[in-house]
Amino acid sequence: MHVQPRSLTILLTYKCTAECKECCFESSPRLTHRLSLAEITAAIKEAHQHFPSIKVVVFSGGKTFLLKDDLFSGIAYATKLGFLTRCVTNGFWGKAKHVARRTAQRLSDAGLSEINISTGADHQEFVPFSSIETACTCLAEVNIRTLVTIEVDKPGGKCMEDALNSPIFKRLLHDYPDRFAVQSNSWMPFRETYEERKVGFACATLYSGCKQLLTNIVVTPYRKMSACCGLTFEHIPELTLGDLNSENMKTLYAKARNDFLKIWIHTDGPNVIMRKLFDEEIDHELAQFKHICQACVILHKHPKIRAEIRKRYTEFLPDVLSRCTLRNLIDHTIDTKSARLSSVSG
Amino acid sequence: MLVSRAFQAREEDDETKESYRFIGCVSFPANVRVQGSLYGKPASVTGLGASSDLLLLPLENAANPHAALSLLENYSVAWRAVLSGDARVTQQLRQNPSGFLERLGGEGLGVHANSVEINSLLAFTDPDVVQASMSGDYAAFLRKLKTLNILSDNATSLMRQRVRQAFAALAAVAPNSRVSRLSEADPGGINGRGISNELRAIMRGMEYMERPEIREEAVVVCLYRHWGVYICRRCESIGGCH
Repeated sequence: MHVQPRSLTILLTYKCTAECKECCFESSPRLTHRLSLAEITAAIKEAHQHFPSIKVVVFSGGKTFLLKDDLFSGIAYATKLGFLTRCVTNGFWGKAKHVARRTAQRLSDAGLSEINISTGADHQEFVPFSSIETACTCLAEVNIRTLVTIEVDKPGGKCMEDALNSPIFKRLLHDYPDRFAVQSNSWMPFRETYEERKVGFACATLYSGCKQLLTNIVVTPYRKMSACCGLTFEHIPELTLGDLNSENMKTLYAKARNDFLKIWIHTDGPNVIMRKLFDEEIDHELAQFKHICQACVILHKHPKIRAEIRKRYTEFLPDVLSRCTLRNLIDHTIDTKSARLSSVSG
Repeated sequence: MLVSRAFQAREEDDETKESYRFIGCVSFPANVRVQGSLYGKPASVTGLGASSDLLLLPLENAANPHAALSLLENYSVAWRAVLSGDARVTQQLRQNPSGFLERLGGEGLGVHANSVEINSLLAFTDPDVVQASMSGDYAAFLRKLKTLNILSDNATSLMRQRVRQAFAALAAVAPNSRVSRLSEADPGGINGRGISNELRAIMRGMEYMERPEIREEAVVVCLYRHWGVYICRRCESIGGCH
């Protein structure tokens, strides 16, 4: 199929000092598993050896900064091997300016390429927005590209409005237009107590192929490898490819590429698959989905959908496999051309 | 609010439930939900990663067109090499075209030196073609390919024939397959409009219409023609409408 992984995501720990109500991993202070530095560097080294297509290593969790020195060492190791690096955080370390400044400097020294800071209504119950402002200011001082992702607001909520009206954010957006950005993401329900949110941008991607599956290799704090890092992947046993203590990354990735369902989700996305299987009968349900990962967990878990997939998937094989192959070649062509244009202009 | 509550209410009424066949899709039946979690406890909490009834569809168990897949994959290896723009690749291809294709994955294809497969690859080492492609001069790009006889409707592609055979074999195994209801589209000749229509259909089917950076449309057309990807007669997109 020529699908190739483009990123390695290392979930350092699921432990978190916060306990957001709709956290996809149900992270909390009670989850204590974490990767050791040796396990982190081993994963990076293995990815480097087996997958030249991987360009970026993402450090996420849980609260990544709970690993302290090991996080910085992991970033430095990935940088040394030539990877771009990204870190995902809730920005709690921005509470005191001197700590924030020191942290940003250490990230810079380790070679971090960019950082994503998550905030919004649920996050701000644990990390105040002022911490985010301080963290962003210090990151800008050391030239680290920063993206602040704000959960889509509850009706009446104004986290995004507050962020865009913040004098600090206004200044950063003005002074660092190529290095500082703010975006809103979608929020999806995980618990029955879920409070409805406004419509998020992710709705636009509901009817396209999954950009995560097969293009991202994920190592979990349990040292398991997953085929994607979507919001619901830990709810879907099929996405766990195996244990890195007993099998290597290459073998496990080959397993994923040999599964037609993963190729199908990569190519068409779960919504389109369900629509193909059930036609308009399922339209009412599809209209309720907030996020492609929500559709994916339902596709994998609902008995009726599972049965229909097993029964009929051969009908769709030729079409899906052809399009997947052709699409990946086109993507490669575009990448090649972009790289060549960059080298010419550079 | 979530449909889950509506579902719960309907669940109590068996007669009504059947008329809402899929109402359980958004929230699962009660035995799937755990302690208020809509989709069960995640492995991040349980530490578990496997279960006994995994929904996996291994390709080798799927009566899939192995031959076609193999050809597609091998041929794309050669294309990738050529499109990389590596001067050594260009030299190797020009010196021994058939050998190049076999060495890079076309083994078993049995193409001859003057085949449409080889000529297509050679065309993309032509400096004029590369220049037109790189500068985004789409019209010049197509003109040049036409001059090189790459977009000729009369060109017979062995690759295309073999892929079609393999897919036909699958259609025989899976009679309800979408493939059995598809046929190749009439590209409408080699004039600009024909190519343009064909291109639009392909790009729409592959969700690429909104991507302005695409300047490799003719590459797509070439590949599509050679690979014999089937087009839906009804809407002229590549199976994407189903």
